[in-house]
Amino acid sequence: MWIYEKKLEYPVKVSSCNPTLASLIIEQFGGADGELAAALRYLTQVWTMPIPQAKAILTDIGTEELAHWEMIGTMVYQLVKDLPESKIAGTPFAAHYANHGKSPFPHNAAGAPFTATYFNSKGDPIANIYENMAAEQKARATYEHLIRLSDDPGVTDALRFLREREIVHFQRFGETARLLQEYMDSKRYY
Amino acid sequence: MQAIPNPNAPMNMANPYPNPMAMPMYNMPPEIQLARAYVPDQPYERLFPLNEALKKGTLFPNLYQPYMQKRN
Repeated sequence: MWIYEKKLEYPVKVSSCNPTLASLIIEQFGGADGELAAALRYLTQVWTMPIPQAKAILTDIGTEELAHWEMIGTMVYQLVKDLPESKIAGTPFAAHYANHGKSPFPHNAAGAPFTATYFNSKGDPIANIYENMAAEQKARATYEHLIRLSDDPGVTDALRFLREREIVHFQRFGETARLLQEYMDSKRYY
Repeated sequence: MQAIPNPNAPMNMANPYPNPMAMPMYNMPPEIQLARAYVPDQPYERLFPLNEALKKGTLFPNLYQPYMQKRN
């Protein structure tokens, strides 16, 4: 069960109408290392985790990734909502507009639609937790690319927040990896 | 007094935001094995004030590692 809070995890104040930037940050809305892939990866892995601490961290972080996905979608929309329709053609957002109008849609910056092949759940706690640690680093790297590409101070500020969350999550998964290793060892050798 | 931890607990005012990379080594598992990756446990040291924590993306000074953008 989930409880929804009717506000963003971190306030998003987009400073400009910027279809180019919208078409770039959508990478984190529907890309391989984006927030949707992260949320589904962690929430899908919950069931086969053998210890309650690991289930809890995956549920917590998976839920937070949904809140990040909501932030990215909000930014994408705010960057294009006031764009006059006569000005869309010729921008990098035009290909997105042809299919989805101004609605955010989960595809990556190159237009490839979201797919569950971006993540895995192996039914093996160690393989899963290492995938998750790698996922946090790949998302951090993506945020650094996007920070370098952003020319909107409000978007950059939110991207910096999201990048820092990747670092915190990496630490949490690292701590969880150790608990899982200890648990697996105790199962094997008692 | 309040039972909750004070987020404004005394800290080193000369350097209120130390570089986490320069902090001492944290506890690693006593028995380290090959073919495993380890992250040290995070010590519970002190907290940012809550308004600053939201801005920074973490409550914990020892996890705050902001991106330093190269200028070129």
